Amino acid sequence: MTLRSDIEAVNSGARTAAAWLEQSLGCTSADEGLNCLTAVFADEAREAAQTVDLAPCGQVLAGVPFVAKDLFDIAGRTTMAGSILNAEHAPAGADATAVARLKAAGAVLVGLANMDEYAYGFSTENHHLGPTRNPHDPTRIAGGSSGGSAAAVAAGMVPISLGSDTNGSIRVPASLCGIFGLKPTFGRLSRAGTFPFVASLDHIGPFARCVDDIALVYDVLQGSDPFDPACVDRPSDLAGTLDRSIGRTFKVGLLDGWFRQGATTDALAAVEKVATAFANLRSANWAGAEVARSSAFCMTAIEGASFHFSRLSRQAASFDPAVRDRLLAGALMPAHLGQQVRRVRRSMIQEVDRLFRDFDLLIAPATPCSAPRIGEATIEIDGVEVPVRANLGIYTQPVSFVGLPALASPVDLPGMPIGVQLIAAPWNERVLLQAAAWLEDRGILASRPCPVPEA
Amino acid sequence: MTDAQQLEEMKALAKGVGIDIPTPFAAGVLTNLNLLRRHAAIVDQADPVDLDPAELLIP
Repeated sequence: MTLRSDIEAVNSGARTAAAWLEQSLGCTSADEGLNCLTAVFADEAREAAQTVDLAPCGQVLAGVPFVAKDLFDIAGRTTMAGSILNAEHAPAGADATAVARLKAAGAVLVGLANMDEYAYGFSTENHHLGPTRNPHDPTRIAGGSSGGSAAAVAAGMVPISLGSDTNGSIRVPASLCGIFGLKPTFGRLSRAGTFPFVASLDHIGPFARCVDDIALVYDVLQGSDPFDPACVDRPSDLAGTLDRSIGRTFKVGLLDGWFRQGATTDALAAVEKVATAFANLRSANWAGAEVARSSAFCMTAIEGASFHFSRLSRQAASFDPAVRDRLLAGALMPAHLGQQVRRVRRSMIQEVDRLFRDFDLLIAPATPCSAPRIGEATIEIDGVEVPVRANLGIYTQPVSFVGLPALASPVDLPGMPIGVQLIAAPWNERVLLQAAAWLEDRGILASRPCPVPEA
Repeated sequence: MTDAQQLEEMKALAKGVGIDIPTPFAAGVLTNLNLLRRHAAIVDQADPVDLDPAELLIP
């Protein structure tokens, strides 16, 4: 069942937003075991739900409870971004654009979600706030950096949430938690009122448990915004009521080379299951994907270090050690590297433009493996032990480096969840949603229910 | 280069950009610096197109 029937029930008066919210708050009170949330706004949410119940019917997201990653501004509250350093900042004067748009559509903000400090990580093992646990196995990570947002949806606390994705921070936790996570084209959704990480690479996007729900939220989030200079002023491309059969006809490329190296059998099985559903399937080669990944790695460290430079100089000891060490290393890189990665990005954009002359859709793993255990410092990729934090995004980094839209989608396989990335040409998010809807109807993509474990 | 020499080189580099890396953090930063340098070497080997002049205007 999709959210639309619940929303219709609220709009028709058959159900109240207040009752829906209480159900959600009941789940969040059992959150201590998962550590998804850094704040719950029970009183404000009850007031908002009451307003929805009194409002004229017809709101697109009437009564839908949601959480936002703790880097979205909430009016009157200091935006922490997973760091204790931000405690000295002034409270936000207004809600982030994305939060404001969801609220204006009738959605009810329940709380804020845990994340890697300053969004620099793929594991949501926050040094100050503790790790977010995976609802499918609480001994394992939820992925990151939007791990709290993903886990809250996977656990059924809320049906939708907001995250951000610089190198894979929506797609990695979506894969590990077994839900859908959309990273739209760079410039599609406004980042205004979010705490930045790497302005050249930052995106925001939604999580949900089914394609229809993520399309519904995506439509509400669209629209230009003068407060984010990167948000492109172009007409919204509303997914609306999705054509759920057209995906069958797409020309699909299964990315090889870099996108198969280091993948576990689980990751490859997920990709095979999705790819073989398409009749018009060929292998696709993205020349230079490894260079794109390394460039994203360097750009992140350099720009991230530049942004945090004064804090690193004055308050290095107050950072999460893993984040601090990576940022300090970034501060030491030569200036010419910053220009070189921008040149590489331009070349890579030309390369993927060529690829999309032959394909409507590309398929790649979302993560090289399912969720590692909490505290595990390394994972094995191609027989080599590599750091978890830096390497869960090896397949997502090239994609965000060139700003392509991608939908991390849960594949219906036994065992711990693992997802694939459906990737489209710039501004073609609708292709992703149509392909995913077609796969969902065939039972190939599915988000398994996963109740909140006992605290 | 020995570990000690690498640490000294890194501290000198940090001083040059105006950052002091306290001794307790140095080993962790060096590990990450070496990883970053491996990625930088891959990027340096690429032969990309020139930037569009318009891109150079973006701060």
